[in-house]
Amino acid sequence: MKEPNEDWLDQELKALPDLEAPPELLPKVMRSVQRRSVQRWLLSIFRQHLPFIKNSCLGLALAVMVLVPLFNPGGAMIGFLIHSPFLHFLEDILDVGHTILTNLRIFQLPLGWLVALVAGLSYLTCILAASTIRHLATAKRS
Amino acid sequence: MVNAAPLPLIGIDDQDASGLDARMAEVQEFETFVRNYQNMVFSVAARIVGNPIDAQDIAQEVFIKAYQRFDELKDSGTIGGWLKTVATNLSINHLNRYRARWRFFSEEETEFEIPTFTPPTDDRRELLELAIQKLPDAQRVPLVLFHFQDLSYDEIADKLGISLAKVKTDIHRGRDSLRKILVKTS
Repeated sequence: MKEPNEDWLDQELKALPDLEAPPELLPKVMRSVQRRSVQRWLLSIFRQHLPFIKNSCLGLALAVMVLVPLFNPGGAMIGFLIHSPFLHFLEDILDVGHTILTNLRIFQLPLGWLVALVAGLSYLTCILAASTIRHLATAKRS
Repeated sequence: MVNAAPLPLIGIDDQDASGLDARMAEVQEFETFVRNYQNMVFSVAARIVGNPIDAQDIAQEVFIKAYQRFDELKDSGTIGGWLKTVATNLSINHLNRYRARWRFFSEEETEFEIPTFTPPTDDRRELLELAIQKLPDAQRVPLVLFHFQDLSYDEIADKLGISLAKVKTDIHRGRDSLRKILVKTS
């Protein structure tokens, strides 16, 4: 059996009216809705004109395919690079380096040979040192 | 003489402009809809989360969801029920985000200390509303779902992921606390 207080509580809870929403709720909701409405409208326009957009893109792609061999923009770019002063400077530097390495001789050997020999020997020394250290470390562990 | 047909150009033509008008009309219709239901949605959220600021954010989210489905909802006869369900679910999700706090209240077995506060009004209904807000989450949420959403004990247990016995105990305790708060403040 329910207490009289509980009956009163039930009735009061049932009779409670809705709370009043704060006045700023409606403007906040409508601001978000307006934004979304414009987005939906733009999306609907995009969807409506989708075939036209697709066809335009296809037409543009075909036009590019036809125009590229005619105007050869790649050739123009390569021509520009070839005539650029930087490439000329780089070519001169490489030429000077090649001349020095082949013509300059030390102990009757061209400098290029000596540089290659020293680089090769250094590499071999490094490899030998590393493998010796590894071998010694393994031997010590065992 | 041959009349040249206008080329379809991208831009805002008459059709698009009328589409925009239709959107604006829909927005106005939606505004009326929000006006009609804002108190109900806000009440559901405020009573569950017990905090008017969070309730306002939840109500806003509910109406944005409603706007996304407004085409189907406006002609449906169950729109009020749909709004209540979404508001309830979003409010419970909001409480679940603070899962640790929710669990803490849900599993605690200690007696809830009846708060003392000076009622700003003599109106019994307003007092009752304040008393509901003062209840701890674990008592308030099942009590609100039971009394205001007319959910059964099973549905409440399912929604909150707690046992049936726990739901009954929490509602009983909630009513008890509510009575004590009202006796203490009156």
